[in-house]
Amino acid sequence: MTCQVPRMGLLAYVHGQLDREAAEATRLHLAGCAACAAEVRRLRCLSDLLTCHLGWEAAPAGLEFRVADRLHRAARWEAPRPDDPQAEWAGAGALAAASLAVVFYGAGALYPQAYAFVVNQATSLVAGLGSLAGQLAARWSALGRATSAIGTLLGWGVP
Amino acid sequence: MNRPGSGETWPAIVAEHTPGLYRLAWQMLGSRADAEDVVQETFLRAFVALEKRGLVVRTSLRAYLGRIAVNLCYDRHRRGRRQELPSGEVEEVAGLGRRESGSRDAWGESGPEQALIHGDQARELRQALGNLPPNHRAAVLLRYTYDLSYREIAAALEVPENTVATWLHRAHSALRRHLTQEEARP
Repeated sequence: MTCQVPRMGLLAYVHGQLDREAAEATRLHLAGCAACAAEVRRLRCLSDLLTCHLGWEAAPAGLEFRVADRLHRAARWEAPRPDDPQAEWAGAGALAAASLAVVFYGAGALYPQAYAFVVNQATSLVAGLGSLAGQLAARWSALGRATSAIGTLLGWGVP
Repeated sequence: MNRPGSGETWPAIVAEHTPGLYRLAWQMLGSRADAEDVVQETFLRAFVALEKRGLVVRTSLRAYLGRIAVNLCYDRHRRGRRQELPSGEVEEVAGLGRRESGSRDAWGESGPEQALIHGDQARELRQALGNLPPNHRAAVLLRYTYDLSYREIAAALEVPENTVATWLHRAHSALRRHLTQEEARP
């Protein structure tokens, strides 16, 4: 190690950034070189000065809590809980129903004739479905009575 | 809230890194409000990258956070958000004004004269730091405010480790020259 080369290494030595072998070599060199030893003292002095002046400012009170709170909110907003899929589906269903209702009544306000037509058609459809269900029930009942009569005639013991 | 791939929780990470990141941003920007914003944004970005996008930090979390903070500070500089310090804050930076509780007192229970001397010294130092090239200044601040190793500074600034050693060496030489000249003035 010459006294010209290691200047950059001396700062790394002061900062404790040399590996064990290089640090030991530097230490041995410093023991026999007054110029480098003086340089290390000056570097230590400057390093201490910088540490004192740049390293004292404390963070404002509560900053950690504000940061933690912000992260917590970010976690909640950006990641729906995977362990609660029913809640997600319920929310989506409610949103879809609300959207449909808004569209339906909004369309009624904008196009009253079309709205009346759709409502009439829907009412007719519901009435038709009701009538069909009534007819099916009546036919099911008649079929039951016919089966019962045939059973009586054939002596199946059906009362 | 656990950090992926480690047992460390986010509140613990925040508690550990907030002081250093705040000092770094405060020294780079000279504004408490901006420094606080940068700290919050740094953690938020790291959180989203690590938790949501599954990013794996190859070096150290400290270097990763340092890189985000430095880039955010550069962004603010570019957007022209840097403001001159109000006179009260200049006094605080110089060590003459109010101290936050728990701050490291550089000169203990020294009297007003000593504080004045140290205040002048701090002003000179701040001026000397301001004259450094941005990369050298960033390396110095990462080293002294956030206590990063050379390897971590290299990762944070995305340069080889030798480059960091060179920058720090040149920065120290420049700072020493500046302070020596100031001292020699009548």
